[in-house]
Amino acid sequence: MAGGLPKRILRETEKLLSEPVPGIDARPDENNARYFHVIVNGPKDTPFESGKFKMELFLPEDYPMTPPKLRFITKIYHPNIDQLGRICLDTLKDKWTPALTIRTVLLTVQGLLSAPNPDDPLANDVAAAWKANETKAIATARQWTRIYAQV
Amino acid sequence: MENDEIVSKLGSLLENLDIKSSVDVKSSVDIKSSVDEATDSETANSLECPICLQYPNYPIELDNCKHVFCFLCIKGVCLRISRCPICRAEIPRDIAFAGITENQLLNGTGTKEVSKQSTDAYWYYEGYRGWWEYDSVTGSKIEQAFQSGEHKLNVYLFGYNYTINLDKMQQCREDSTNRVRKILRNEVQMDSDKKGVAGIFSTKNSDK
Ligand SMILES: [Zn+2]
Ligand SMILES: [Zn+2]
Repeated sequence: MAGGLPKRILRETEKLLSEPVPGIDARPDENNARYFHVIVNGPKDTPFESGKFKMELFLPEDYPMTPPKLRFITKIYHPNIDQLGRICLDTLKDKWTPALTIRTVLLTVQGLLSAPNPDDPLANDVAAAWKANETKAIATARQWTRIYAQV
Repeated sequence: MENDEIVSKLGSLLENLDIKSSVDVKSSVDIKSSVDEATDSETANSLECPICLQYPNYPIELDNCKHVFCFLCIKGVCLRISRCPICRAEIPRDIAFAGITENQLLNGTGTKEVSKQSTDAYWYYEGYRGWWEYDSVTGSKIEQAFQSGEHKLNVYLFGYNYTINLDKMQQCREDSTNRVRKILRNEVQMDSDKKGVAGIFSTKNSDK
């Protein structure tokens, strides 16, 4: 369809491909330029280190006026990510502004892996476990990374 | 991580990205030149609208925080939330609902000139008591489709998708409102009935 894809999306895609975010691979689906396959490398010195986490990212019709939809496909033990892979990040909800981009969102996700925040949980049981015994929670997260996050 | 911390980190990231992206845009020109006809010569300029990531068309500077956007981009934001996308400062809803005048644009006019062929025409959409000219980029896109005999095209304006139907000569917003407006093609620039361009009131021959 003529003029289907806003130039902004083309620009962002070009840039993601030509200058990827370190530790993140994001590329558009062959058949749908609004759907991105994402692989996030677990940041160093975190229980997610050496894991490769698959995510999906979708740009809705009225992006960038509304935020991208983002979800972990790979199972991950994290207080701000629930069993369905949904992420608790206010920048993806009410704090979204169209000046944010796919790149900044991915950076924020990376930041969330580096700094889990059990005080603002989405996965309540994980958050509770995290708060009750952080050492044990981190060990579990590490174990899950070993089991599930190997592409 | 504290949310404020994330936001402020993002803020500084954004600033860095902004500086970088204007460079990127230049270097990627060759790859995607087909999609960038109208804008690339200008993106060499460091100014970039944070919403469309292109050289601002009809740029407007917000009074409070001095952030600069395309009028159409900030109008799109304003139709949803009246806060600056960069710093979240309150912005006047009038931008979206009452429109602005030419004089409120940065540098007086700031219109992005799209190279017009001698055969090109001007495109208008119906407003209350008069006609609005499409912004220069959208106008030339419609004209292109018209000249190549297309029946329909989609344009993306202030965050909404519109279908331009060249058979029925109308535009329709593709969301729940399905608001339809008449459109018009004119060989010469419209004079007395023209309100302005894309919600920006003309100050030349209007009584306003
Ligand atoms: Zn813009
Ligand atoms: Zn601002």
